[in-house]
Amino acid sequence: MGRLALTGFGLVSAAGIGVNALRHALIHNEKHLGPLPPEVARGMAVREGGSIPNPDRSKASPHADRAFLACRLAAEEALGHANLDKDERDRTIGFAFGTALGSMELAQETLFGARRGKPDLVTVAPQLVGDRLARDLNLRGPATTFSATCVSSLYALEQAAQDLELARADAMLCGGVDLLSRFMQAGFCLLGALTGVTSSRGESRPFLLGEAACFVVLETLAKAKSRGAIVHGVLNGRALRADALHPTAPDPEGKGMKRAIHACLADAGRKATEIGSVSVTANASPLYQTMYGNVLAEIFENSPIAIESWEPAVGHVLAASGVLGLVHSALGFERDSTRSGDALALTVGFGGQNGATLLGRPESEYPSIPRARSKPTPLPIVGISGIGVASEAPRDLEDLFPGRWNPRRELDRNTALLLDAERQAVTKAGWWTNGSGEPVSGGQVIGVDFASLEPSLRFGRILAEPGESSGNAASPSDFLFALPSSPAALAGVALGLDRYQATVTELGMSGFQALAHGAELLRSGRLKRVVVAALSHVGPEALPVLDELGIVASGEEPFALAVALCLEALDPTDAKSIKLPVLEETEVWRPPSEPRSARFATKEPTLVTSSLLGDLPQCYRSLAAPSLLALTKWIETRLNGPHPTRQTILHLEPRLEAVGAITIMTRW
Amino acid sequence: MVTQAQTLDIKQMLVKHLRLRMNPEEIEDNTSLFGEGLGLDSIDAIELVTVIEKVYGIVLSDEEEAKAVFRSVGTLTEYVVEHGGVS
Repeated sequence: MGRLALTGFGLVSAAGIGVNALRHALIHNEKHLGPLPPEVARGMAVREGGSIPNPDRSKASPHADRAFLACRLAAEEALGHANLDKDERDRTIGFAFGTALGSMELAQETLFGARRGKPDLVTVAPQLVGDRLARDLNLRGPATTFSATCVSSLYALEQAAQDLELARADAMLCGGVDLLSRFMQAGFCLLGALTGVTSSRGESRPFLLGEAACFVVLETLAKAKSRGAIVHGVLNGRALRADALHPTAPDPEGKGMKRAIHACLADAGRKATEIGSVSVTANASPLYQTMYGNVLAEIFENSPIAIESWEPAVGHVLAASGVLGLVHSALGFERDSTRSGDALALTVGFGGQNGATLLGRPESEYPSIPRARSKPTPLPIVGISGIGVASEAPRDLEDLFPGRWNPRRELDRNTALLLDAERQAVTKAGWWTNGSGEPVSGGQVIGVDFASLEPSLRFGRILAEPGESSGNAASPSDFLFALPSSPAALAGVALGLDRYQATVTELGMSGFQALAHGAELLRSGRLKRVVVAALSHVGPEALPVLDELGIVASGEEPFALAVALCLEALDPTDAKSIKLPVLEETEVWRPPSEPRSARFATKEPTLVTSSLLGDLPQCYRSLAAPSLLALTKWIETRLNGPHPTRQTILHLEPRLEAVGAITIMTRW
Repeated sequence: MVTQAQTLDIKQMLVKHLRLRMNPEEIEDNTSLFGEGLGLDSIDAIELVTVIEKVYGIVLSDEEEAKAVFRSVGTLTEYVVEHGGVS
């Protein structure tokens, strides 16, 4: 695909409101880390961090929390910087967003704290702050939110690139947010993550968290130039890879990060010697310092390079890290016009996630689009080679992954369901054998709706207790299970899914969004195979809260389901040999956006998922896993028919007013 | 001197809080917590420190001391009993 231009950026961080505050902090070596507010710090083992200035709430609605307001400020700055008027009718702006915990502060206050009252949708799905912002800005392009810990905004970046490549938007507003609620601070303290490092010279560097909302505006380079936009950098390369070794800690040898860097360089058609600067996140954490030391010594063996970071100034900014890496790279070009070479930004996240972006100077020479970047010609066909469905995991599941999962440790319910569905799918696809211990070595894109709600309620309840002990009263696992991305991380370890590990959080539309994202990764040539899955779990503790919101019917039973599909990129020149069901087109839209695909715009004959789910209670049919279950049921009934059959299937997510559409063929 | 009841209490704590798939009675006293024994890792060690503080009120803050304490179920039991954690 063509290169992407960075035409605007916006930021709210501990340095202040606006990118200029960070610019100033970096030039003057300022540090904006200090005591956290008492309501966050109470009972915590570490009570310092980087807090953003409190946004002005005076004109905001009661439910506009700090996360939303910070995002709004950063998003508006980015759009203004790009000189884009979002209301301009002949230009469509889309939205791609990442957050680990979103509006968790609002969620906790509404459920347990000072703002106790009737919960709203964002209370039970705090990552929906992204959807709320996209609606508030009235963006007419596609909107997607990912929750994958500290690399969340890099999955958003990948989505933004997909949407631009498919011409679903003329420009993409891409960003991330995370704030320091008690939830977040307690989680990192319980994991023992905030310990810092001491250099050989005796200098200590703390590893502290910082709040930030950061957005960039991306357009194709051609479009940016044609409208006369100022290009602050060119995204030459990007890559994400997972270690698939441990649920939280990185591989000390950094094999995943090395793969990410090599893939990023291949994407850009660059060599390591053409890198002029490197920025990193989390290198004040001992585990990551070791990892980076091993990685950078190898990658830059012949040309050592000093590493930079914004974290001494504003802290580790969690989900905003990935896009802040791009902003930092662009600011570096401003600060030093004499330094040549592209800017490499490395981002890490729980679950052994590794992300790399390579930003080039606007005026630099670009090699022709490298083979690694070029979209395959003809486009691969996306085949469905395996399906798995799990509503109860088998008792011996933990025994099936020797060398990858300690069989003595019990899996939590969410992970067990997802892992079992994925295990069934990869076995049927022939990618994996029970008990082999060999990694599947593919990508993973998961859609979740309410699965993390119950663990969040438990963890939040402990943190809300008065007194000084509440910060330490929970366990690390309580925090981990409350992260939407944890099932994917744990399942990725067990199966060795080390290519890609995204989690989409768009309520009931998450399954179709995950399918669209995964299929496009294959069509664009970025991956050869990917497991797409959806996990839906409404447990007994979550039921009353969801009942109050009208999401489940009163008296309904708990519900748990995971569905997984293996997608493979198939060679269309070998079409006669393709005997698998094929995914033709996928798209998701919501007001005010409309479908772009002619097929979906003309409303060719469709089925709706709920009509294929007659045995499920009505209130559960709109959830993520049932949406994929409907597809599998259709495939099952049509697969052995005498002729290939094509069908468009719609999924409706009423709470987001979103529509997803997928066209499947039983065989090519 | 550690009693069987005290050792069983520690084993029950391990099974419950670390989500071990075994009955407490199946754990031998000299089972190592890491490696070939229970197969715990560094994150589990952090969790164990948190659990010991929560359940027994004992704060284990020295890394070297923790390594010795966590060598086996037996050494952990002795430590907890010595510090008044299990009656």
